[in-house]
Amino acid sequence: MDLQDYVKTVADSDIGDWTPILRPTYRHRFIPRKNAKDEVTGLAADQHPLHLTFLHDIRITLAYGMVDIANYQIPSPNAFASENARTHLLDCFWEGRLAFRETLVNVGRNRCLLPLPEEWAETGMEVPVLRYGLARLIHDLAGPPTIFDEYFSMSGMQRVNRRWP
Amino acid sequence: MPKYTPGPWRMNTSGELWSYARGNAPAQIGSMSWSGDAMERQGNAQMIAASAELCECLDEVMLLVSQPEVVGAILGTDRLKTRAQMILENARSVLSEVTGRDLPEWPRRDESDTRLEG
Repeated sequence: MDLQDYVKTVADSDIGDWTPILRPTYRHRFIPRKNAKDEVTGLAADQHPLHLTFLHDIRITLAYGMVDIANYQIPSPNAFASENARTHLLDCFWEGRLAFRETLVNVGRNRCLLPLPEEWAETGMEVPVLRYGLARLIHDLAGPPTIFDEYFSMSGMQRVNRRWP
Repeated sequence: MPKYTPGPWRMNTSGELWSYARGNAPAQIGSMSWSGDAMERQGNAQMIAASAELCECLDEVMLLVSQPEVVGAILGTDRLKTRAQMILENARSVLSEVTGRDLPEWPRRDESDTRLEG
């Protein structure tokens, strides 16, 4: 299975195709903890809050939720620029090895998970169909109980048929 | 849980944090010396001022969603069950940190908490 097929399999799946495991996932990230003088004072460990196994092919697993940037700034004049946002990592594994990493952005004070655009604009941001499908799946599985497509449109994103990743 | 000054709390523009607990005279319980982004101070002040009430509300919401009828409804709905588990695990973890109570993972409930029984 190549990366295109892998991502297509995931992006085209439904929430019922996945079985979740909450913490502990034993896939930790260690980051230096620093004081106000920028000196390292120790290590902080965090992990994805959610692990998912694809029921039709258990070689495919996902881990989602680790915060990448806690204070992500969406530039004006986007509709979500004035509210808190943060980015989360989605790690996609094949036979337990990291095959692909995607970043999702949590907008509007945790109202929706969206794909992270290459460049922010008010309207007309093009998102490849597979990337849209991946973000929508994760939103439906692990995001807030809101309607993905409403926020996707509100943010100024639109689907395009373009090869990705 | 350690004792805390009852809410509602409010913070004024000079950074004084006041308790307006019903049945008591308003009392100043602290003051904030701000640093960081000036644009975020109003938001930070509102977050701090609401924290006592937020904690109490979250505690009640957790108790409510741990009732067997609600657990059954959530776990029986594919659209909600995974995201609910994740959201409620985050809520449990925050509440445990704030209150110092060792709360069981949802959908198990704290058997000693009988507020909604009877």
